Amino acid sequence: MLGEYLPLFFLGVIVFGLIAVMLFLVRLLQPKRRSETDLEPYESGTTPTSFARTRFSVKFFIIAIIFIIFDIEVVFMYPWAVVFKELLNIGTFIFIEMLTFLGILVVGLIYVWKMGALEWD
Amino acid sequence: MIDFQIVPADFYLLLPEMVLSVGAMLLLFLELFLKGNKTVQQWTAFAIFVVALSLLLSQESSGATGFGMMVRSDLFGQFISAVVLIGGGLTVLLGKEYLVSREWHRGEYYSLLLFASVGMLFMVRGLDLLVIFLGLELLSISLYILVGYFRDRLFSNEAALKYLLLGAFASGFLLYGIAYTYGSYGTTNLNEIRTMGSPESMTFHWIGLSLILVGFSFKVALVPFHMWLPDVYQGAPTPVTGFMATTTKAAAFAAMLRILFYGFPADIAEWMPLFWFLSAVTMTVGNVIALQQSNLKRMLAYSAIAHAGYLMIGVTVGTETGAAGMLFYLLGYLFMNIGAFAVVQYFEGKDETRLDFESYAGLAKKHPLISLAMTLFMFALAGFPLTVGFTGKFYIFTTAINQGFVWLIVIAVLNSLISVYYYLRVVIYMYMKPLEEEIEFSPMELPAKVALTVCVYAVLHLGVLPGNFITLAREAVSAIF
Repeated sequence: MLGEYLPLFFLGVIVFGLIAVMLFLVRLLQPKRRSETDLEPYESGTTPTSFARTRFSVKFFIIAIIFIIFDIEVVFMYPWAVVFKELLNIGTFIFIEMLTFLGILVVGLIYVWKMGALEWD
Repeated sequence: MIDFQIVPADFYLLLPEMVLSVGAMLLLFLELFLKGNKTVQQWTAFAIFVVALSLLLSQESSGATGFGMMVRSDLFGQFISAVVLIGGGLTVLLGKEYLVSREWHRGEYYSLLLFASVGMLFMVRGLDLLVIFLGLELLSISLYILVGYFRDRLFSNEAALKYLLLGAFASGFLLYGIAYTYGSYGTTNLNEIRTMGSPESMTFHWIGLSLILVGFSFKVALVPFHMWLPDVYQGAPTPVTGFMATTTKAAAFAAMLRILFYGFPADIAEWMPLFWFLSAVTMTVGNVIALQQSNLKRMLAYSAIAHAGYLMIGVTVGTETGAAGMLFYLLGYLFMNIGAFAVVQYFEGKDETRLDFESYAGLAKKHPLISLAMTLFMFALAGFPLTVGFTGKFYIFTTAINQGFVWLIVIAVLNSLISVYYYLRVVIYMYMKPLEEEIEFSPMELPAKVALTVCVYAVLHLGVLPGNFITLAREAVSAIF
């Protein structure tokens, strides 16, 4: 029974071994110069201009919340689209169901809009 | 081919939930486009609750399932759903005046109450652990917002944040338990679990069920998991506190009963010692700490914990009559607690400064009727005869005695005696202490008066003539055994 997991074990050995080898090689081959840049966070090659932990406007919070809702909507629509054709042969229920779901979301959108959550100032 | 059937009867089964959901969205629109028309909002919300209740009661309670056994329409679900909807209706009636006087009247209040009720209906009528979880989440999220309704008040924020963090934690436990149950049975459907009988993995079964119980213990505030309750009850707007204390408790206990008794009928005897302990500790801790409270809202919060302990006796006994007693007590508790909070909200004043016992001194002379109502509710909560508090407790306690739980009932009766002290303290302050300062209260508006009258009447009616409702509760419970 445990034999089934043997490939997994070897995968683990290879992964950790590879990491160890690479770290060791880096130690061996790297130039011995040390500079302050080494201690800075990696920012795709450019030098960072300021700290990452700055305060930013709380308004992003509302945007993020609204984004999550509509993001989940899309996640829900993907599996729906996959089975759409097959289920449409049985009846139009699947179509109406998604319309209902979208309708509920549109209610939320109208609410958010009218309450002024989409305005920046 | 996907095996998927949609029957129109399924939608008929969910009509109350659909009416509530559409109504909640309608109220959001009313807030947007008819801002300021408070009476229309209140009565619309009330009408939606009434329509949903009448639709619910007109349904057949044959035990028919819908949507692939996701929901079940039986008398048990109907009974507790009715409790929830009545509680929601009363809270709507009480809410407007309270919010208007604090200049915080918004349509979202009604909308969130409706959404919370939808969640509770799904919890109560759901036959699948995931539907129950979904209902619980809908309820919880609505309540987090309702608790923090006064955005500009610090204690309201504190209460909402505490409730959110601990509630999310409890939901995590519940979901984890559902995952383990799925691991041991291969399904989350209670009906399939019931017919399957024995799990594939006993360890997973016990871990799963324990975690589910922890999740529900948080929601009904059994003692090791009760810490959030007093702060949340104190910080929430008072009508919301009344709503939470009664309907949420009813829905969470109902879901717990359905999971334990319907889904896992074989395990009841093995749970018994644990439930015995939880019940005894919960009522003792609730009552003893309630003795120390000077704030009325906190006192009622600890009394809510104590009542969760009394109700747990019904689960401990684990028979049909025990569960029927719980159902009846939950119905009675709805009226006595919402009534008590209605009086508290009337007397507490705009800034909620008049919440301690001292500020109730001598109120009986100036407000004889409301004081009388408060006296009735306090007597009912303490369990005096002629009120529903007595009949409910009597019914639960005698069932337990008949099943041989003598010591548990000794503890319960002692606890009831302790509780008399702090309940009657309110009455003593109202009737026997001199008036400290003259304060003019604006007269109670008609909807609140109606709600208070309904509570008074129901407490007396269920106390004097409980027969029909006890029979109903017994019939309801037979649906889950």
